[in-house]
Amino acid sequence: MKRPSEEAGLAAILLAASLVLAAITPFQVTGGEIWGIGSATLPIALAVAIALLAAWLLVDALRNQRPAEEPRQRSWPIPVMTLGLVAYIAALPWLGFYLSTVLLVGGLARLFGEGRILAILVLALAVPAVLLVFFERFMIILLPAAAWN
Amino acid sequence: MLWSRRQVLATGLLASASAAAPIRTGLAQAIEQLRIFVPANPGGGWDQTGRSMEMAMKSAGLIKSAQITNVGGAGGTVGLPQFINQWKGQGNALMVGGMVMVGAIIANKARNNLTETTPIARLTGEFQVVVVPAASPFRSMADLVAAFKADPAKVSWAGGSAGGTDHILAGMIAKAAGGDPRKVAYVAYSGGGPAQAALLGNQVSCGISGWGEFGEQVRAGKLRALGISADKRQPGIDVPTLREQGIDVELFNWRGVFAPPGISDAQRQSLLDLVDRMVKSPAWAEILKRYDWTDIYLPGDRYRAYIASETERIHAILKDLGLAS
Amino acid sequence: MELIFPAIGEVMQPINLVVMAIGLVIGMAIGAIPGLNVPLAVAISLPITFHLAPLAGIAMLVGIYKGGTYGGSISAILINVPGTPAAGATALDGYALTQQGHASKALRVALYSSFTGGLISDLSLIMFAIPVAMLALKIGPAENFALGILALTLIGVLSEGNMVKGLIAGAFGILLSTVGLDPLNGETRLTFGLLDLSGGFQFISLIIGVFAIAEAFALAHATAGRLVASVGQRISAAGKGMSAADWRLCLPVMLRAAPVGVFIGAVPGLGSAISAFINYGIARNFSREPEKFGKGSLEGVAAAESGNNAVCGSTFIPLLTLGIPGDTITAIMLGAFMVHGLIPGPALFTTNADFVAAFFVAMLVSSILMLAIGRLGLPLFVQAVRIPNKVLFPIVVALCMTGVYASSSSYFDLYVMLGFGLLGYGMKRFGFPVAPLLIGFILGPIVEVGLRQSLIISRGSLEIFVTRPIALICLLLAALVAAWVAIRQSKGVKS
Repeated sequence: MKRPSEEAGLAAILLAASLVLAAITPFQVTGGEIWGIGSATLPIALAVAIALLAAWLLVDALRNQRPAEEPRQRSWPIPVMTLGLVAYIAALPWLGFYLSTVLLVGGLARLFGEGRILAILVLALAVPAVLLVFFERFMIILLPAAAWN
Repeated sequence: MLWSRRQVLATGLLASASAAAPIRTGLAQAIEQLRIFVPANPGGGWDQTGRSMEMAMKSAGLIKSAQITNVGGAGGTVGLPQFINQWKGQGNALMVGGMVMVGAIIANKARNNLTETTPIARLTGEFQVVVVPAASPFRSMADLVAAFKADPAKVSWAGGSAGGTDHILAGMIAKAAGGDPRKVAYVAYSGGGPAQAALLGNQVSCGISGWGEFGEQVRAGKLRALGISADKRQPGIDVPTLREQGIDVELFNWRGVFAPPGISDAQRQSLLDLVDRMVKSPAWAEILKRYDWTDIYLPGDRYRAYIASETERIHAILKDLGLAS
Repeated sequence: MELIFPAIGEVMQPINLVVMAIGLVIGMAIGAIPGLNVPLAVAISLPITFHLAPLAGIAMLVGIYKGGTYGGSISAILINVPGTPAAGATALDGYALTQQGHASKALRVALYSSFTGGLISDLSLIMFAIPVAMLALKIGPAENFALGILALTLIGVLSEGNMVKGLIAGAFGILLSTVGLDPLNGETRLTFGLLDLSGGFQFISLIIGVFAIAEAFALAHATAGRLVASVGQRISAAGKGMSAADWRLCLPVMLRAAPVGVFIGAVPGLGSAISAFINYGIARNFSREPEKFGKGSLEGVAAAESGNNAVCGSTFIPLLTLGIPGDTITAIMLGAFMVHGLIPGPALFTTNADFVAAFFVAMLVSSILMLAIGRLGLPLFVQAVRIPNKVLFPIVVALCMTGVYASSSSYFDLYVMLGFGLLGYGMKRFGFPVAPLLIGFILGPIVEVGLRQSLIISRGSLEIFVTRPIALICLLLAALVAAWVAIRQSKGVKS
């Protein structure tokens, strides 16, 4: 039953973030203005516009306390997958393209509901191999090599 | 020079044998697989240079294959740190770069600069041309400069990205003529195409770009060339230099190649050797003609010194333009 | 005209048809793979074409160009991976159609729309090159600004029903586009000291993130690691082809999108992504079922693909008539022409009239050949829907990671893509529409740069937007559309 306050919370975060952005942008950009418009003009105008719209959204969300349509579900898969992808990108320069991608594809297949070990194994070994051959041999674009190479 | 006797001998021997065996597999320093780093997206001048080098080297039998990596953005300053940090010590790698990068490093306050690389050789240059639409009242540089000095805001200059070669030349002209470079009403377009369209559509007063970009329009009579930034008149091009018209400015948009930092002297020597052979190959001469590039080959240590003096010169101009501190 | 018949004979030589078909297949593959783009494919193939006869070489490049422009739609529809930026507009509805079991129909609409848009563009190039070029020359910074403002009102059109959230998404899209070097003075902004951001956000990381990666997050949320039966939840039946009613619905949309695309293609510096998104917005505005847009509208796919491909022929208008390359691809093609001793510009029509005629025929033939190859490949492409999600999406994520890395060799862009994936997932969960975000991102620079360039040229006077007729008309139209949207929105709220 947390839907309305969740939306209000989001609107409040948006409002705060855009106000902070509008406040700090002038200090980040040093260049001059030509005919009243400089590098910072548009970003500040947009940040202010987003702030106004977010304020509207906030008022709206607080006024219409609609009941939630569905209860919240498990939320662990999103952080887990995010961390997994970050780990993948961080591992690329160390483990190299092939090994990292084997782990990525295998992990994702399990996360997305594949249960047969053999299927996961085949997929995880074959997909990176095909990608590697395609990009390096046909497109002549080098993919990350392992650190020990 | 840094050549060891053995290398000279080996190179000489192989050069004579090269007709029979095009790939120089015998020499330890020979490069079979070259990696070319292009800090720009496919299609631009640096990309063309990189791909042309690959073609020339392959057809001269200097390398077996080349791999080209494009990392575009911000005048090459997005790619440069990657080349310096991730490609360090790779003896078979060359990065394409040039004057635009020198300017971008200064203007963007980039953390890395070209002195961190191993300069190999300056290869080609392109002089710039100042043009006006065919219907423009300006007939010479004197007309243009006089109008600029009378009211700088009335003269709009079309060209490529801010702080790039075209912008730099506009600032140099303004300064040489005794005007304020900061007052140049420079309209930065995303490329030569849109700038040409603006000129043909009579939307701006004048434009600056490489001769290769505007030359055909000048020959077709759609644009009038007022002056070129070369040191002397160019064969086949009936346009006076800026110097002739009392504007003491000379500018070549040069392009060259750099090796990564941390390579051995032997590796540097074999890259110098590779580029030297490429420059002297008929395939390269053909490419220069094809793209209208001027050969301004300058290898090794003299190139390093040239980059240092260019950096100083461009820094001063960008300061005048208000684009650097 | 008397040159056309010998030109047909010349183009129809087997060697030309073969290299053109090879080009089309390469183009479709490159177009369908995220991160690999048409300029790269053309740049890589250019040296190969030097070994061919001039016409064969250029036929191959034309094939790659056309195939690549179409190919993006295949992966956009089937796996929610827009292979090219322009195919993002196709993915908005194409993937929804696939999820509803209409993959085959969506692919057909995309193919026939691509063909129609491409054909109209070719014919415009052949018949109206000179007048279109003259019109394109009238488009300067002031007109770009006004056109951009007019197109930005489409954010309103696409946000109907959820105006505040749509406008936030649109403004955020423009804000994202300002990150990096200011194109007018080289100043860095909103980079927060990150050097990797000085080049701005790559459109490819944004679009792959908000579509494919966001979809993978949604899938992870839905399955949450539970084992799924081996016959996937994906609809295995590929659906049927287009009915007569579908044709009646889509054909007018295709025909309306094509001229807009032709015009956008002829203006140097715009391009196919802008055309696809603008046409998508226009189609929603004129549609009888606007509520279906974003949820599986055939009209949306038809407008995006016709608009996208209608750029292909007309980008050659400024190149051939004026010698001006309007984008990267035509700039590379200019090089290809010159290599063969052909110098684009008005003189080409007199000095090499036979070649120009052959080039025109080659454009038409490549459109027809694309239709044939696309139609033959369709039953093959559609098999992708038989792969269950648990197998497909690990492949999709790996492909996106590899493709985006390949496009810039940058790990940073991968993190950016991941961030945009989370953004897209979050937007979907909280009911923010994605289309305004993308339209804001691609149009933001046109509007900002147009305004500031105009002010430099006009010495700070806003009169420039009144005295130039095209600019004035666009701005008035924009006001009209905005009013129209506001009225429709307030009515919608009441009812």
